[in-house]
Amino acid sequence: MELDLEPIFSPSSVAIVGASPKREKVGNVILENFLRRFRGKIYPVNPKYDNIYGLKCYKKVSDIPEDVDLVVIAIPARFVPDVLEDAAKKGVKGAIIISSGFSEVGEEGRKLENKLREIREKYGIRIIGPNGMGIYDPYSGVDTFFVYDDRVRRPPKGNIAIISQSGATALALMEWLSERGIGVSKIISFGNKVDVDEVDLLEEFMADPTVDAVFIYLEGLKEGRGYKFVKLSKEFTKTKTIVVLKAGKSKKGQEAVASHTASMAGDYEVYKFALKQAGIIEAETIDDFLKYLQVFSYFGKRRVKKLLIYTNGGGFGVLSTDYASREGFDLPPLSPALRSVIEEILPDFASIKNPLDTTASAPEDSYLKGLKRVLEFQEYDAILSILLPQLPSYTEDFPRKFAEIYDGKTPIVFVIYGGEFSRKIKEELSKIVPVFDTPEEAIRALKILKVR
Amino acid sequence: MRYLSLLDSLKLLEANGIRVTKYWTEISEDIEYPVVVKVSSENIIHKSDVGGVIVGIKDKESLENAVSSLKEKFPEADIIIQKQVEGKFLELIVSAKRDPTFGSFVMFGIGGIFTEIFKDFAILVRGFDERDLERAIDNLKSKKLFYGYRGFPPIGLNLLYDLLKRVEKMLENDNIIEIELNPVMFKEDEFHIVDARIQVRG
Repeated sequence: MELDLEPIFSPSSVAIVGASPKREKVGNVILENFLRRFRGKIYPVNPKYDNIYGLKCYKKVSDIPEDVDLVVIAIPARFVPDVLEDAAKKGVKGAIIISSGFSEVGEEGRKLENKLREIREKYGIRIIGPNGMGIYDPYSGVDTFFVYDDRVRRPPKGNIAIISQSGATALALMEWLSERGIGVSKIISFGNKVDVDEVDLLEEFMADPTVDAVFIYLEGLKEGRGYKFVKLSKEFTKTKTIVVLKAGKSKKGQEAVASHTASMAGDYEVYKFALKQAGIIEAETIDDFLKYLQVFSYFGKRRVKKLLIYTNGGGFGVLSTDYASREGFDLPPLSPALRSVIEEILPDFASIKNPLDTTASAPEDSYLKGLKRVLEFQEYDAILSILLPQLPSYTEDFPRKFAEIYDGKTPIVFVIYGGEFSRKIKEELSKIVPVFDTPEEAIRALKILKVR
Repeated sequence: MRYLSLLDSLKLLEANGIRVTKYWTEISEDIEYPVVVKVSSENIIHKSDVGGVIVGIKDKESLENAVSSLKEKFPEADIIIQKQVEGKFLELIVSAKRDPTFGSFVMFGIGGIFTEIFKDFAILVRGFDERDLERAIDNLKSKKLFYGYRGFPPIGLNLLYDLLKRVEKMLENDNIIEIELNPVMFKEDEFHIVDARIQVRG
């Protein structure tokens, strides 16, 4: 068994190499991040300073008199191997290397990266990076994302782990999540992944109670790691969820191939099927990836097969039915008992099937009363609720009234389309449940909850 | 990299415990008609395209004609006389290939001449089990064909599973890069490998 990643995910002390009091420096952002959230000991390391923000600053990691669990390195690439070795010699067991200028820039960088690999082998120190944003972990307070808090707000604590090779993608996701108040367990951007990769992280997250789902932006696994990745994911997805957004799907140039196998089973196809075999949900687009994140954050572990479409507008109901059947959801009719209850509430000409069309003449109160009864009967795994709030009897108070009847037992997603008036309702409602613009979006988003 | 001739490919499959359709390398009394005559050479990858396949031979006289015409046309190549497979079968493609990320994978799907028209196939990477195979079939457009459809027999899933595992295992030989069997004619309790292409190092 490899050394575990505890020093990286729950350190009680951290050395920040490259820490600086100068505003524009990466080492300044990281130091400020740690000062804001980290509750363990912080040791700035920078030969230029004796003291930063009142903390004693050390010339090198080995000068620190106490034990250090984690070293964060944010200095030019050429100095990194020596610093890493100095820390490893001291007995530091975890490193996050933010610096770029390694294998991504060519031969010189590749040599430097090999040195990191040698140090990792020799001392057993575990490494995240180089050339990534590192880790944001609201539980441990580790935050090496080198953008100031006032520019990119941090998401709250949650149950989703994000893994991204790309730093830019990780940052974009961070902002997207925090804007919606969606919580994370951690966000990890490991760039060149000289050591820790997706497989190591899945192994770690398997036993992590703060992780219910892992969302991975994946360019490619390290060579030869696919077998273990699939094996581990198969186990992982029995209890937790993995979603992958795979980049690099296009074929580079059309080489003439003699076999059908070579022509049909390109690199991406192999990935696509391997993900399926591993029980992983593949998000086909970044848009789907974000929708899955959103729905997961509301309804995490639910599984949906039977869906009810509940609408006060016929057209969107029919469209939803088309999309839902295409995506393999079951749309069973209401039980006779539920049906007769609903008949009491809705106008005579309402269509009490699935889709259930209250029609535009059912007033807001009836729409909500009907929905309430449907929820109480618990005949469906999820409800797609389509709402035209523009109708005369509907009010801005809809979200509050909905909150009163919604017991949270059955996942509901809303579809609301419209201008200024509708947007207000949409905004309020989305504090309770996910709201989408179109039926197709909502159905695609629900796919993450679909029984597999 | 090069391709083995059909004859060498069939022999290699047999050596790995994979039964191929009965064939003869010369005209003999024990030939079971009808047969197909095929040219076998490392240099001919697309046999049909160059007129290297003659089908529907029902007697010795036609066989002699067919063999001599192929020998005349391809003096350097070997000749294979293969039992013609009859009845209703599902034509599949079955292959195995190395992969830098996943180690190796197998592929199966609708085969024959329409392989790349329908492109209805599935891939299973190293470590797959029976359940993975079933799920992969259920995700194919043509999944109904696998369970028997309009007079076509269902295919023996255990046979397919066993075949996939065996071709995958062949990749343990470092010299083999890719194995492609197409078509493999499948029934409930038997299959026939009538053509094979094996890519090797060197």
